[in-house]
Amino acid sequence: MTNRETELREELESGAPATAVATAVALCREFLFVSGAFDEAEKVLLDVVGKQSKEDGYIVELHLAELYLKMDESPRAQRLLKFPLASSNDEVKRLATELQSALDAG
Amino acid sequence: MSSSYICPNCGIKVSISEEAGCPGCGHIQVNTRDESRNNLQDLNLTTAEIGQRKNPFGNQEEDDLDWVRNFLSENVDGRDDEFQANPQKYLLENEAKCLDVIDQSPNDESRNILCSYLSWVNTELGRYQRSLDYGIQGSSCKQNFFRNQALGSVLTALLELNRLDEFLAWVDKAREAKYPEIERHEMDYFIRKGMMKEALEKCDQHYSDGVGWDIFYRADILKTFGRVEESEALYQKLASRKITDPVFASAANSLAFSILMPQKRFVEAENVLMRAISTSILREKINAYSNLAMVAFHLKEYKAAMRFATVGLTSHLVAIASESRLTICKIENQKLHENPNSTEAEWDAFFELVLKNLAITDFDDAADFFEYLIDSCERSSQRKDLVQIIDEQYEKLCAHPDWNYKKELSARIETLRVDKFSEIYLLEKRYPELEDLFTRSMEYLKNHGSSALTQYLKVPFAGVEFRRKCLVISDEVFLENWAGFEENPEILLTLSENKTEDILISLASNPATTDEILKIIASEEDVDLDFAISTREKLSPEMIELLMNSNFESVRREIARRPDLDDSSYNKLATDVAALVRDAIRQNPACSQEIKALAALGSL
Repeated sequence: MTNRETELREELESGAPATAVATAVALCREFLFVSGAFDEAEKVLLDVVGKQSKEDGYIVELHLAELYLKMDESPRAQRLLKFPLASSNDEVKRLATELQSALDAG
Repeated sequence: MSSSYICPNCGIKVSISEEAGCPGCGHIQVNTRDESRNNLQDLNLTTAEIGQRKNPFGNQEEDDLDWVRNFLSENVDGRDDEFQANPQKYLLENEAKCLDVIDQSPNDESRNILCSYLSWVNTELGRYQRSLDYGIQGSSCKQNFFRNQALGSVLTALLELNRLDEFLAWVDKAREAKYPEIERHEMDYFIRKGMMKEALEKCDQHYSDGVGWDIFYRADILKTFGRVEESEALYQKLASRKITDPVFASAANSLAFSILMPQKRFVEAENVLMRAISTSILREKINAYSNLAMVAFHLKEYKAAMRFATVGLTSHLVAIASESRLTICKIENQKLHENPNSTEAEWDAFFELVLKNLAITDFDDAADFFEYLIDSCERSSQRKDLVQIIDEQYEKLCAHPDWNYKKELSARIETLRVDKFSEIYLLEKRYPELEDLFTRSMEYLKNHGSSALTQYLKVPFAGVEFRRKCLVISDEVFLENWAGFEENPEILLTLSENKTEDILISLASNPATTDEILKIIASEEDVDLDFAISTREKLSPEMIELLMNSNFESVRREIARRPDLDDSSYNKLATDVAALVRDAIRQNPACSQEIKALAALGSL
């Protein structure tokens, strides 16, 4: 485990509400998605879904959608993607649109 | 948070600003009492907290309580992490420790305190008989906290065991002892008794803290009494609160499980539950996973359902863990049925899984497990012992305390058993056993259309005494079928007392139905009933006469079409006011040319 991963895990365990969403997303993006630890990634993301603020713009749902696509569970991915597609956060919306295109392309 | 709380030791109302705690005993509030109902850890913290007070056991010590104080302090308190990690293990370990030392108690009060603690442990484990036994002894405590804890266990256990008369007697005792949570138990009592208004009153009396539990339990009561829309509105209000709100997660789970899922609003339920998973209240988080597993199953997303149910299994609450075990069984069952190449070995494994789960099931899930047991046993290598296996499991379920209380569920288990046994007995022509089986289970068959019973009643072996017993059955499809073939006039007459049209039509078509019964049916003056009589192969002259005078043209036409009337009847119908009746005479080969001419004349 790298220092960065340890750092992120410790940060997540500390339960700091202000950084929980960003930390969970970073842990998934940088490590759990890469190593294929999908079940753990799902738990990490579900743990913070309800902690999002309006500014987060459904970033967790975006990553869950990406995760479910990796897990070959596209109906779930499709359902969750509806939220970031309507996000007020431009970056989240752009990434969601790209993911939607990938989904449409099969 | 509320600005005041009721001290659990003394029942005194304490202002939250009184940082020194209760003026009666020094108790300091950690959580509101409402949270304590929903968060095991909180109740346990109260015990731990007591161990840390200077005078933790109240201000009226007469006995030497050092021994029990030390025991609780060393073995029970300060183990919250262990509790959170595995509540069931924690509770069972603590019970074992208490039981190891309880006989070493130096005095009655110490022993009673341990009994009080054991009553709480067993309430949390859902073992209500034990909880009751320990609670009764613990209620003799002089220490307010432990006496109240024991009284709470007794009242909870008596309700769960459905011993309602004893419950009322204990409410009186609890009131004398100034137990502060009587209204909460009374609320549960009135719910069980089906008294909504009284339950709501008790809810308002008990939950007046401003936190939102009053709204939560109000929603719960309304839902129980079928006022679903009002209930949903209240739950929605609470489920839209911040995840840090103490009521949020409970409301989200209830909204999803009790309102949205029964209405098949699975995607809405999924959204609510995903948010609830973020709660810091462990039991609600696990409950949300368990509910999410059911949602995923209904959405046919079995991989996800399995992942979520696996988390649900970790709940120390019997109901939640059982629910997750059931979801896993549903997934396995579905997979086996969907695969045409499922092997006997796979069914064997599934049968073993169901058997294991049935042994520890929450009663609410028992009928589902029982159904899977029968189905999987038939497809497994155990099928030769099917009857014995069903009987063994059935006997165990009958001994469950909820058997007599949850009538719908016990009736479902009973009918599953009767359906399977009767199918076997009928096939093997074991009629005396079959009759005995039906007779013993008649109470449960009242609203159940048993196809084996219908088949058995076609067998002459079924005597009139047995047929009379079957008249208590009110299932309309069953009665309709029976009315179509029954031959005993006494039974047919009783069946005719049922005024459902389908049953009477079936009776009207039955060749064994007597004129006496046909007249009763005709007296209903219903076109479909008269028509059914008019199409009978055999009709007495008296019935023909009656139907010739029917108010319904279509009925008179059917009579006019018949080949078995005398000429005077044909003559009368030939001059009927309705053209379609006269036309039927003109086309009837049984009528003479003169009568046909008469009918034609009337049509000019």
